Amino acid sequence: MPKCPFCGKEIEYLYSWYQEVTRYIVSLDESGNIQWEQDFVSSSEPLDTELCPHCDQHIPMYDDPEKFLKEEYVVLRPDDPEIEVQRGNFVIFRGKVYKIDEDVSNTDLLILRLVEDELVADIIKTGAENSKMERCPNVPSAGRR
Amino acid sequence: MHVYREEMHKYEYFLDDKNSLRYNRLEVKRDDLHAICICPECEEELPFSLWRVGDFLREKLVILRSDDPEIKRKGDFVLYRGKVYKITDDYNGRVYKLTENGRWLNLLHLILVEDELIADILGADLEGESDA
Repeated sequence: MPKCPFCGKEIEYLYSWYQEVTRYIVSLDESGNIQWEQDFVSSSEPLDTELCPHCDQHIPMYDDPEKFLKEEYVVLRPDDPEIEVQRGNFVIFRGKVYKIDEDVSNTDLLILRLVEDELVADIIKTGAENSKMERCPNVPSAGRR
Repeated sequence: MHVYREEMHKYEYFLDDKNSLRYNRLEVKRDDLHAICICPECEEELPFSLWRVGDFLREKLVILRSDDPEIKRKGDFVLYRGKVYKITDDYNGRVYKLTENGRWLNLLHLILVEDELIADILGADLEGESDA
């Protein structure tokens, strides 16, 4: 389940507000009561979109919201504790490899896209994990062996 | 009658059991101040607020051109289709079509006289006027 980069809570759904002009057919029924029948929506403008249901913050969406909900597109703070490894343009988050979209990422938020090619993801993951191990003081580095 | 209403719709979107994106409308906030009532035949805007819709449909509120051939007028009262109405507004007003510029018309706003006794007296007077 995706998480909100602002409040850190798990997100089951996103919500949006749209301003719409709706046409109704208004008439009286047999008892003389007013009946409202929605006919069509003549215009629809987004107001606030892709909002977190917990903190109401807008989540920057440079891709399809469906991808966000499927965790194929992730928005995180750079210091998110669930980022396992960051190596160059790649990040391992919750066991999956993501590439940082540098065009839209900034110092406050990382915009990540899932690396879907399994082979590429495995290579990056292995490389990142090896370098993590090399940095670990409890594991002898290749040079010291 | 057609009513165009400005509304704010709150949608949620989520993944269903099959991992497909689904939308639900959660909430609607209506702005009745920005609603307009339209004649479905000629698409002219009807000059009254949304809260008068019921009165208009029940013919308690009637809006007519001042030269409407169906009215018999005497002072502030009008006989229209066998019912007595009080004129609450008589003005030269601009009416708008949805897709065109406005035009000016002489309009009467009429309110039904619901007190039967008064309506009968005024009705007889108006009938007598036209017979004379």
